[in-house]
Amino acid sequence: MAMNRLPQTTSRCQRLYSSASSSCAFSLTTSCSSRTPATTAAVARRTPRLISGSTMTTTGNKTAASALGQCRIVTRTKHYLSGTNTISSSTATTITTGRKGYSSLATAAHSHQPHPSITNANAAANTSRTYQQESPQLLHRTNQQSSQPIHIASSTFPSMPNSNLNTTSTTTASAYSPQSSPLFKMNNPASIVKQPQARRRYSPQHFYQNRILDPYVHQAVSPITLRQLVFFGRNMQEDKLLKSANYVRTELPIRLAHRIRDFQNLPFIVGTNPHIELVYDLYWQAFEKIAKVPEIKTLEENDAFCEMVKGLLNDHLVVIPQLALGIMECSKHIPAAQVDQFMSKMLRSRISRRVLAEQHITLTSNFNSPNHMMTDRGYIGIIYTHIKPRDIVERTALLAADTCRQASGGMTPPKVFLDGNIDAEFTYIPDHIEYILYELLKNSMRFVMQNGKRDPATGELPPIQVTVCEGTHEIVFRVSDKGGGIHPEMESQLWSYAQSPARFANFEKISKMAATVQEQVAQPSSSPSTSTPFQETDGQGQDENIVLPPPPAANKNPTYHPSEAAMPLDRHAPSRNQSAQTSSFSTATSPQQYKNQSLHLGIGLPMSRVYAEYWGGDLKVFTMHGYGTDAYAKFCKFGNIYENFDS
Amino acid sequence: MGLRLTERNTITPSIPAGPSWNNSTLVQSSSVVTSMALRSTGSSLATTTTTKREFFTNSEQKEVEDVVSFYDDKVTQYANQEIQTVTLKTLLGLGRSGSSSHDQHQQGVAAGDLAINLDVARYARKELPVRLARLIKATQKLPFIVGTNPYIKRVYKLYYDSFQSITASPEEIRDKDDLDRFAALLKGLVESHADVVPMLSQGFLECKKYMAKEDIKRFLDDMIRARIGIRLIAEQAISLREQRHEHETSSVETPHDDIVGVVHTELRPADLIKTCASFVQELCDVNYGSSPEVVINGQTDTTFTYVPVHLEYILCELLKNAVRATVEHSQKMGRSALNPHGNGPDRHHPPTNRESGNSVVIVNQDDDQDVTKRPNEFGHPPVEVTIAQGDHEVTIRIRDHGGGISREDFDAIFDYSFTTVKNENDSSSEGSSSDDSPYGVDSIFKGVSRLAMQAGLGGPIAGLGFGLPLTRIYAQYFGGDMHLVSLQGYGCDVFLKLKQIDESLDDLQI
Repeated sequence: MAMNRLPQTTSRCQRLYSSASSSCAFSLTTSCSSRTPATTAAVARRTPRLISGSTMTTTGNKTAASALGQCRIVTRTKHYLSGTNTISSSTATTITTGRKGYSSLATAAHSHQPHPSITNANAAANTSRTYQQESPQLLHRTNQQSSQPIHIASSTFPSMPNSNLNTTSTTTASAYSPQSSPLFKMNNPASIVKQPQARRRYSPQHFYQNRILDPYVHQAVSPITLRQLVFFGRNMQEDKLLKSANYVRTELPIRLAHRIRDFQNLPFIVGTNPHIELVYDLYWQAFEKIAKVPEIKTLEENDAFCEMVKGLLNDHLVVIPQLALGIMECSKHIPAAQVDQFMSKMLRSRISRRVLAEQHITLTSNFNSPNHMMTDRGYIGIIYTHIKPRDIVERTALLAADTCRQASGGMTPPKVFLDGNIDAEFTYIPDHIEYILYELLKNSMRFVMQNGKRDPATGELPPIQVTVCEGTHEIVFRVSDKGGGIHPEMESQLWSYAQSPARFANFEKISKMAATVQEQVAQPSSSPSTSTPFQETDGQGQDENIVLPPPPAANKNPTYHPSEAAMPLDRHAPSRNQSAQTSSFSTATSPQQYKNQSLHLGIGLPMSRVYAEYWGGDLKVFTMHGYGTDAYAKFCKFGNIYENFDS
Repeated sequence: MGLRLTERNTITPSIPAGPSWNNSTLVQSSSVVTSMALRSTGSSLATTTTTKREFFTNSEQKEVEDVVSFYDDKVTQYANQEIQTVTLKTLLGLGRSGSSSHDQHQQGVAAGDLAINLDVARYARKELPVRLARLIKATQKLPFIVGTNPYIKRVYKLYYDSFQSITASPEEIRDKDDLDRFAALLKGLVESHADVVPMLSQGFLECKKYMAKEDIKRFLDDMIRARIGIRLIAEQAISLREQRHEHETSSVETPHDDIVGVVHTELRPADLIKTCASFVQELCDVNYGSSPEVVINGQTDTTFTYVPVHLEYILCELLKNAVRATVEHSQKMGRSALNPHGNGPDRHHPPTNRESGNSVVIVNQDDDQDVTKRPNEFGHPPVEVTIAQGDHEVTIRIRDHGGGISREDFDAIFDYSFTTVKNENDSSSEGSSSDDSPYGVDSIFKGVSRLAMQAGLGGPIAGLGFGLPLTRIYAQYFGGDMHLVSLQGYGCDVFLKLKQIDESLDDLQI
């Protein structure tokens, strides 16, 4: 039987997994076994998670496997089906993504005829047991295995109510990026979100299958530091890359499991909110998918893994908008403090997973590029080791000025002056700093343009002063404006997600958000000329004033090419060509979604703080109502602080 | 000795001395003039006498030991009474009719309304014993060993005596004579309490091994907050009486409509900052030979209602920190007139040629960027003070280029830190980072001159590590707050947010 071909996987988490899930599966199926085949099939169908858990028992743990072997009837599942379907077509050489799996499930349900040779449920179960055990490996090793008869799968379907099946598939498909799902083209995720589905949330099986989460929840997260990432990412070798892959592979499910548990601790009514539910679903699916992956031993496996993770990252772009909407709708059910805590946990964890994933993906793509030995220009994955405050403030100020100019219909944004230790150098993830500075500068400019008192002589708006301070351990960016400050009532809500729930109303209008600067400044490529070059004027003496001059003018800045306007900040990848695929996940948001630049999402400041705190820094805002606001973004310059990650 | 004088004159707002109590001389009537006088009469005094603080004489020492209160139930009895909070409105005598507060105080207190004065005095007579009893009770609950410390015991006795003398005074305050007697009694008490905070500080410094740091902090926070309330009530009663007295004895009509007891209804922070800054600069000059300029900008014409003595204390303390840090950082970085950028990486404008002597500059709202950056002839970059008037509050931001606060020290700056003074005063030196100033700068000005700087400046308790925590308590007292941001390697920004008192007159409970 297929058992013989199973590789002896020794992954720690899988072993943990197998014991927990097998016992779970066992008890469940025992209770089912006396029912009629139809009922049992229905039960089995509603237990996708459990089954997917039990697929993990194929780790050579024969005791567990044989125990499970007695309960064969359980195994007709989506995962099983997706696996078998893949095998039957003999096409997939990479990991089957969730949407593919689900759509193929639907295909099977609709088009396959019951196999004539299968006449009773027991026989079906018997065979399907085989595939169920095989499927995780088969997903990766189809080329080594000849096609197996797989029509068994379809035999179970006629007994299922199809409508229910479709519902499930639709929901899932919509949660994922729609375009690759042949059967369910869902171009507007938001429209689906509006209809609460996924009835399986409320089935008892969902409750019981939750046990597969426990071993993961009980594992502590292994936090990392920026410095570790840097040292590890230098001089990438094959074995290091695989190590990195396996770290990501084992770490992501743990982090996901912690957040899933957070969802589960929310009040029940909140869990029934369609937006929250959708995110919960996404997390579960991501968890299952990654947890299923066996140890990565070859570069090919790693590539496949990266593809899968990339797909997940893309799918999860809907998370922030959905969470924000969910929180908005649930604000009356949970105390504000709890909401805030929940949201920042979610966002922080989200950053942590994206950092891990993106770092690994970028390392992989750099490694795969033919001249990867030449690529070390200070970038190690998504980390840049020579960040200069001067450059980064310049770039973000420019972008913020563009944004504000467009939002205000062509008004000239205030100048930005830069002083302090602007030539300090440190290591960080540029995306994170850019996001924060962009938000701060954009806010400052907006307030100055609204309230700033113009110089009576020159008619200029009061400038924004950015001061860079280098301490022994930290770099602080102080952004100081004279935009009239923040009213005390507003100030108290500055950081809260819950106190002014209406602030997220604009999330109705966008469906995806990566929380990067790129997506916010992504502009129609027809107007690159609106980008304003910086001028560095040597004011008086040695003071380094960076001045944003009045708008269009000709683009004279040699360091800023209009052609880069679409992704002006993406400097991570050593080579733009090779990094095209890498950046696809981080810039997946369509520019149209941000076309209305005045769209105020209300999440910029809290999100910025989450970013700032992530590597041990912080973000503080002090306002002088009637005058202006000072914001202080602090970053640890040695990168030796562990991720700020609350398990 | 220098210490005691300064303390008395800052915390005790040497009651508004009649006609001289107006905007420009506001501060002079308080600590600054006296302290400056003190310094000018003997700056050597200020630099040398502070190593040992003699808070009491031998005879007093004996007295302390005689405190017997165990069998005295009166304290408990009073302490069990509820505190009757009072709104500031009542203290200002503004709550007596439905008319607008401004009109009311025009014809009311400023005219020396006896009825209001009586009201406040009666309230004080009834309320002060209760509050004092509570303070005494709190002190009694300290660990026994702490209570036996002579400084703590002395404070305890002071409160006990004050309690006794107030409860012994006639309960009824019927007429002007009663009022005068009561005011005189209060005045005496207030003066006798001038040293309480330094004594507490010294006492807890000696007791720190017997109590957890947090317990000490909680006790001191509560104690000082209660003390501010008590003093406010007492001082209001005293100063109302004195204002009335002024009014009755002088033939001219009262020129001080905007001063009601200890409250100033049209306080101009810019003026107060200017006065405090000059004072701090002069002392800095004396101790360091140079001082940075202070630039005041923002909405410099702001006025608001506040207790000037509180604001003066806060400003002096913060400016003192800023000025001292700037000068010490200049020393450290080698900033000088010839080398205004020092060895450090921060860049500044070339030095100004502004004539010395005019070292506090008030600039207009549309301020000149350069002024806030240009170092003076000593290479010190200026301290920038920005005033902002919001709808409900006045914010004052003080920025310095003093190098900021080191990470290690930052967490402790709002503790009642006993370290800065320990080297000089505490003979039992336990190894700690005590030789660092709160700014973490290894100053060559250790020892005498620094101590003088600390003792001579900013009033009573500087150098005992009470500066910042006490400042924050004052700032928070009327619903304001204070935040300090350290930009390590660069400087500090302090945000002082003060609620307009008259905005919260109705619900502000003292």
